[in-house]
Amino acid sequence: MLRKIKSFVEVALASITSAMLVMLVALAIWQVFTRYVLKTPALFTEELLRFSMIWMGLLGAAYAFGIKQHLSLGIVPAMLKGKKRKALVLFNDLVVLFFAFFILFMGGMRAVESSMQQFSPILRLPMGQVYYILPITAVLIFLLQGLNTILELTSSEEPVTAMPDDEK
Amino acid sequence: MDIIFSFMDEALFAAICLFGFFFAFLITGVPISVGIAVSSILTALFFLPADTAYFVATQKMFAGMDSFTLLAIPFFILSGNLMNKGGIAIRLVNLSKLISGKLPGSLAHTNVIANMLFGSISGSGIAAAAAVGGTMAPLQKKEGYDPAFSAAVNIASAPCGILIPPSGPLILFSLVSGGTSVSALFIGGYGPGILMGVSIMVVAFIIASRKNYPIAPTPDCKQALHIVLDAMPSLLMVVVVIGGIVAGVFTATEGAAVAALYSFLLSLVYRMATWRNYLEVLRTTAVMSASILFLIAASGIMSYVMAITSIPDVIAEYLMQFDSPVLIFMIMNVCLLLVGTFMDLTPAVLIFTPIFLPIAKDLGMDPVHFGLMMIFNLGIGNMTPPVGAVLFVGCSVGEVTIEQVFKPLLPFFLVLIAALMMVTYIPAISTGLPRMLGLI
Repeated sequence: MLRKIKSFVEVALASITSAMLVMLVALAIWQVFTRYVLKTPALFTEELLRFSMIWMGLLGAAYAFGIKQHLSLGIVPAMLKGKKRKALVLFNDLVVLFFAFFILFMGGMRAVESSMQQFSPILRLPMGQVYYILPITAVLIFLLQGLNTILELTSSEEPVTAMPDDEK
Repeated sequence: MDIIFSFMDEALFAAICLFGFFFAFLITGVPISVGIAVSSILTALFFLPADTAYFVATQKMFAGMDSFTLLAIPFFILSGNLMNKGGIAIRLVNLSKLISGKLPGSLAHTNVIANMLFGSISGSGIAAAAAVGGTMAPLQKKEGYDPAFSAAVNIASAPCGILIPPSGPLILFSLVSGGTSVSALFIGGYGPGILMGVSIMVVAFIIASRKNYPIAPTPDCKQALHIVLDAMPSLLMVVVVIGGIVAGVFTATEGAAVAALYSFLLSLVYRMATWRNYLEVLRTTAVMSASILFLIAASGIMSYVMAITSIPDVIAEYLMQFDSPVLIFMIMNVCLLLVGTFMDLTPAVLIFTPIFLPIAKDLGMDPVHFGLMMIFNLGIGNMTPPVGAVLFVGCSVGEVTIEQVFKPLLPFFLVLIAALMMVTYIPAISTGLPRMLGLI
């Protein structure tokens, strides 16, 4: 059940970020096209590109917590076994949750609340809406990382630890 | 707190705190980005009220990612991943064979040249190690090359790709250094990148002559022409993308988007990928980009905390005591080499640029020169255990273990250190070309 929820969220995030990536490339090409071919450069693209990249980056980062693809040094956890290893994994997960709660969620909510009246220069979007991605990411990290922690602690077999960073 | 500060400088305390927490988290295996953010926030808590600290941290994270130039990184990663699937590697390998022709151990040289060519269209050493190494390893095995030697050549020459433009790490450096010209860095990258390739070829030449590795037969004129024409569309990308960026036709970000579109079209023409492959390319690109963007966001907090506690000043003051630029640059290099053994290139650039760059500038080093020296140095770190992305990829495509490849890698490692010294102490290698073109 827990695994099902996790994989549903992960598939959704993978699809959304992939689609956003395609959109980013298309928008950037459009920006060049409007400048050279249509001779009337699109102004909205630059800002839209920046904001979309941030959204993609943060959603992708939440996804990467789920599938454990963030760069980390896996040497010490790989040397430990059994309870000690579980304790260390739990500690690491708690650090991630601390980060998600205090910096992304608490800080993010304050950023949202304090900047609903600030508007972005070109698109005239309230910055508070752009900042919404911070608490959203926090919730997603809580969900995915939390599920990982539960799955790791309850599994009887050796838990799968973070990949060594051969992926970048 | 007052008790601590009575016998310890505030900045020194902050430095110990920040790096202490950071290394503790690094060792226990916390993701590096989270480790950077949390060690910074814990340090900040000594200096700022808690809710202010969290709020500022969030803003710095957001501000760290809010950059148009940064967008070039996901685009170049996408283009590199597409090329990996797109049948470009084999065409470049064929062309390289033509160039390396009659040198003893010609397949080893082919590998180096192909890595340089691949690097000149993709921005990543890992992509080169995977695509070129994967193509070369079986060829070399058939000709009786020691697989460990072949893998070592591939691993040692793959980081050329991060120096020869386009290059993701150089864009990253341009950002964290406060806007060093991407064009100047890109053009400057050719010098150190080619030096890296050539120095590896020298060592490969000596070893191959000693072991009597065969010289590959050279194709006749007609075949040669065919090979050159076949590789042209791939190489044309250099002209379009790098030419476009340097000539100011488009920004680095737009150039990167064009590169992604170009490699997509090329892969369609070569019919090397299925739609399922493309979806997988998008997914891996999104994840790779996100983890890099997240690191950049987190390091936004760290550089803020460093700035308010003036940690870089303390380190600068300490280093300046040596009073000899030669010695100070040497210390920086040793430091970065050590860091490079256990830390990946991206976090190392993010953490050490704000610390070392002001010192280097004070000593009269051009930011372009410093950036290339740093990336060259950390590129070497990419091939050293325990953490070396290129090493892992190179071993897996070459089907050898890290233990097997370690000994044959040593001579290459030494010659690269020598080349690094040249890059460090001969500025013209890095800044000559961009200066000639009036970019700096």
